[in-house]
This record gives sequence, C-alpha cells and structure tokens, in this order.
Amino acid sequence: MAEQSEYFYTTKHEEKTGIGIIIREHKGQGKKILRLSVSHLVKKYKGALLGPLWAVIKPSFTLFILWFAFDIGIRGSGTVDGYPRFVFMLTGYVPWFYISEAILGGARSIRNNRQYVTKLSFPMSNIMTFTNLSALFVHFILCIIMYVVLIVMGYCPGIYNIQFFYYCVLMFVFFWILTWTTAPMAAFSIDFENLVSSIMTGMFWLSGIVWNTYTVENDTIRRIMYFNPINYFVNGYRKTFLYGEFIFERKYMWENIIFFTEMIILIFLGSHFYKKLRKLIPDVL
Amino acid sequence: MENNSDMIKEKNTSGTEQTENTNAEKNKSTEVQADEKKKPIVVEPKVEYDRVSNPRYDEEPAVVFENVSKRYFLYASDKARFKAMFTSNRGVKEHPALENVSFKIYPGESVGFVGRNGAGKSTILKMITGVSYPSSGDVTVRGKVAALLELTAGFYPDMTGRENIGMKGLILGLTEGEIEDIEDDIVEFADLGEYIDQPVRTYSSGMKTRLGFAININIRPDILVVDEALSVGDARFRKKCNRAIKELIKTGVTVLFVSHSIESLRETCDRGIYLKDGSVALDGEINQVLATYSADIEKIRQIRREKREARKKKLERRRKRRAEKAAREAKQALALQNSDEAQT
Repeated sequence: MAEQSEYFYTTKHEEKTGIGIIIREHKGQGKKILRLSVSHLVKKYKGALLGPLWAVIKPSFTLFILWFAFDIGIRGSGTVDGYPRFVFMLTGYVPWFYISEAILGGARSIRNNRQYVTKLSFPMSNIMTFTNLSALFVHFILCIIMYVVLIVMGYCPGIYNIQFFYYCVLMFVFFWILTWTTAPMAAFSIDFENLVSSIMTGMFWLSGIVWNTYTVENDTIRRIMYFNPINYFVNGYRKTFLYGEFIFERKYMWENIIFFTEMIILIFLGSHFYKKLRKLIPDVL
Repeated sequence: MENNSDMIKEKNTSGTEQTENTNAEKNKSTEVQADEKKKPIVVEPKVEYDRVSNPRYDEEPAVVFENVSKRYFLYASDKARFKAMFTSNRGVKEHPALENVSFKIYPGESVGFVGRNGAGKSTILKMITGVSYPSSGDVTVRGKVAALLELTAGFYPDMTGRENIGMKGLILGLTEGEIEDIEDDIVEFADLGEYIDQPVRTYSSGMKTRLGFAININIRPDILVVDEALSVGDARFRKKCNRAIKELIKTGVTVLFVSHSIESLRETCDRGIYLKDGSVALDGEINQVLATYSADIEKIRQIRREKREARKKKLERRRKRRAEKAAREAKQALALQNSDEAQT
C-alpha cells in the first residue's frame, strides 16, 4: 500500500484476520467515532421533552420498582449479606444497565444503522464502536449518581473505588468484542437478534443483580456462576464500591482465569465472524 | 424478458431520432458484435473531443477493476440464511452478477455505463462507492467519492436539514471546519428556505432529493457517481443539477454516469462501457459504444416484433379457421333443417 491518502480504498492486500481489519478500520478514526457517538446519543433523545434526562429516568424507575417489589412486596430480610437491599441492587443494577444496553444495542447496531452500510462506505466495526461508546456515556452519568448516593449513605469513598477504572474499561472492551460476533450475525439473520433479546430477560435473573452469587449454597452452581461474565462485572462493581476487596485476591483467582479465557475465545470468534460476514452483509440488509 | 420491455419503453421515449443514426452504423456494429462474443474489445479512449472533461492519463488511475466477479447468494428462506452463517454458504444457490470485469478509469475522465437491466451496472457503482464487495478480484479507488444514488435515503428523519448536513459530512470523513465551509453552499444550492431548520421527516420527497443532491455535489468530490435517479425534481432544479455536474466535470472531477437515456450519455461522457450479462462487452469511445448498444437493443426489439407478428398471424389463422368451421357447421345445420322441412 503505497498511498496512505485518506480517500484511498482498495480490496487488495486485505488483512488475514478480522482483528487486523478492525484495527485498520479504526486507525485515525478516533475523533470521527467520538463525534458520531455523541450525535448518536443526541439523536436518541431528540424530540422528547425531557430529552437526555430519560437516560437517567429510565434506569432509576426500574430500580425503584425492583426495590419496591423485593423490599415491600416480597418482604425479605431487607438486607443482603449485611448491606441494605437498595444499596446492593444499586451497585448491581448500574453495571447491568450498561451491559444490557451494550449487548442489545450492540447486536442491533448494524441493522439499526443500515444506511451507513448500504448507502455509504462506512466501516462496520466503527458502527459497533460508536453505539457502544454512546451507551458508555450514559453509564458514566449513572456511575456519578450512584457514587454520590453511596457517599451520602456512608459506603464510599474508599481506596478500592479506584478499581472502577479497571472494571469500567474492561467491561467496555469485553462487550465491544462480543459485538464483533453478535452485530454481524444479527444483521445477517433477524432470528439471531430475536435470540439475543430473548436471552437478555433471562440473563437479568440468572446473574447476580438482585441476589448474591457468592452465597449460593450448592458448590457446583456457585462455580457455574463464574462462567457468566456479567457476574464478573456486577460482583466487581460491588467489590469496588461495597465490599472493599481487591480484584486479584487469591479467592478470586478462578473467576479471573475463567473470565479472561472467555474473552480470548470471544476475540477469536468475533474476528472470524466479522471477517466472514462483513462482505455479505451489505447484500442482505 | 420483462426487462426487455422496460428497456424498449425507455428507448422509445428518449431516442426516436436515434434510429436513423443507429441504422447507419448498424453494419459496423454487427461486425463488432461478431467477435465480441469471444472476448471484450477494449478501444483505448482518445483524448481529442470537444468536451468539457480533460482526462489526465499520466496520473494514477482513479478507479481500477481487476478481474472482478460478483456472485450474490440466494437464500431459500430465513432459516437457510441462519444456517449459512455456520456453513460458509455451502450449497447455497448463487446468482452471478459480474464476471471478470476489468477496466481502468483515469482522473478527469467521464465514463458512461450502459447495458440492459441486470447487466451489472449498479453492482459496479456499488463497488466503487465501497458499499458492496467483490467475490473475487480487486477494486481500487483513489479519491473522495460522492454518489448521486438514492438521494432521498440515509437521512435522519428527526434531525433538521442542517444537522443532517453535519452528520453526512461526519460520516464522509470531513472535518468540522470543512463542514462549516461547505454548509452555506449546500443550504443555498438546496434552496429549502425556512425548511432547512425543520426536521427532515417533514420534507417532501423532492426536498429530500434536493438536499441530498446539494450535499453530494458540494463536498468537493474527486469522483462523482451519478445514477439516473436524477430525473426527480422540477425542470428548473434538474437544469441546475445538470449545470452543477458540468461545472464539476470542468474542474477535473472523474464522472461515472449510469443512464438509459442515450441523449444525456452522449452529452456528458467521452467514454462508454457497455455491460452485457455481467461482463464488459465493449469499452471505448462513447458514440461507438452507444451505437453498438442501440443496435443490440434494436435487434432485440426486432426479434420481439417478429415474434409478436408471428403470434398475431397464428392467432389470425386460428380465428379464420374457427370462423370457417362455424360457417360450415351453420350451413350444415341449415341444410339439415331444410331437408327436415322438406320431408314434412
């Protein structure tokens, strides 16, 4: 590739792997992607009277209902492992809200932005990135609110809060990589998209958002819970903000190993499917 | 076969005075056609025409197609499509759209693509705009591409016209400064008045077309891809568009033009590429290509006409026979009746 002009396009010398393609497609596109993710967010809440406030209202409302159902309705003990249920659910629901947005929005990203694919020459991987980024912005706002609430209630600040940056970045990267597989597949076949959205409802209750996965009595089930990456982040946020525990403590070794193995598998899967389906998608959308 | 009738209709409206011209060149073109079946003829385009374009052959070509083939997969059902994700499309029916297409287009050239529906013109344009990928072979494009295809598509309905300009610019890779520079030009060209600050969903289709055209023509492209969709809009705006395209050609833009209108092709292009069933049948000077193309169309029309005549004749004969038979029967019946009467 002799020319490196911005407007040079060729199908020659294509990278062997999907990752290679994705990396090339992101080279020097940072600013564009960032601006697109902001516009995407603005577009999403445009036309509504309360506008961007909805990004906060929606999760707050859901959280309130969940808390109401569990604390007032079911009348449990009111505490989970010594923490008030509200605080426990808050630290679980904030990452969950991002995760569900990232998985669902990520899977739908290509189909929802099909004009980029079928009308313009716009790299598909950039679409995935900016949809995930715009979900991350909402997550930041929610995290700030959560942090304020936790400080007021006396659980924060603490030195372990710094782990937030580790978990947040890793969470973004992990679900972005997951999108490499889900987005092309969902674009290619609407059945897959439906599959993802049906699974999501179940995932909420199967993951430790309103209950604690570490205190399951059955050993086998407790270990199986390690294989759910959502638990890794939800529990990670609790370690950061509630438990005050370090990520790489010895008792969490297996959790870390399983998670990173899954991530590596996902990288290969995503790379494979992205490369394979990329060229077919414009023809079927 | 349905395609043919479309084509012929097109021709009827656009080129009535064309037929004379065609007949004159028919002899020549039939010769061309004879060996065209074996391999495509590539006539190097000449430079000297009284045209607005000014090709620069010494530069690197703007568009290069090297043995490009394209096959579309035809999935029997959504289930088959789902399965195909995991089986690498094995056993899926294919439809060949392009086969071994090669050509080079140099900066400043204006090239017209002709061919009947389904010959592969749109597929080629899609590949140049980077929307579709070849199944085999390579495509290389040097320069910023503006596509005047489906102008009404790709707007965000909830954003205003002005915001859509910014959005489109962003996606095309322009910087904020560049977008600001061209925004006024676009607004002026689109001539939407107050509506430029209204959401695009409130626009009429004509207004959307105008905005789409204005954006594409003003982003200062190096390569302009024009489909015949341009016929939208009123006469005044169409004239304005044609003028704008001409002006762009003068500045040295490469133009790729797809149309069924022989007149507008002759007006804008120097070089023609005639596509037939997915491969290049003829690549050369525009008049020659158009002549070959019209001759082919004429031939198809001739065949159809003959077929129609034959069918008509057959019908006529059958009707006659039936009428004769009916007459004979009537006569017999009458004779029978008469004899009956006579007996009584």
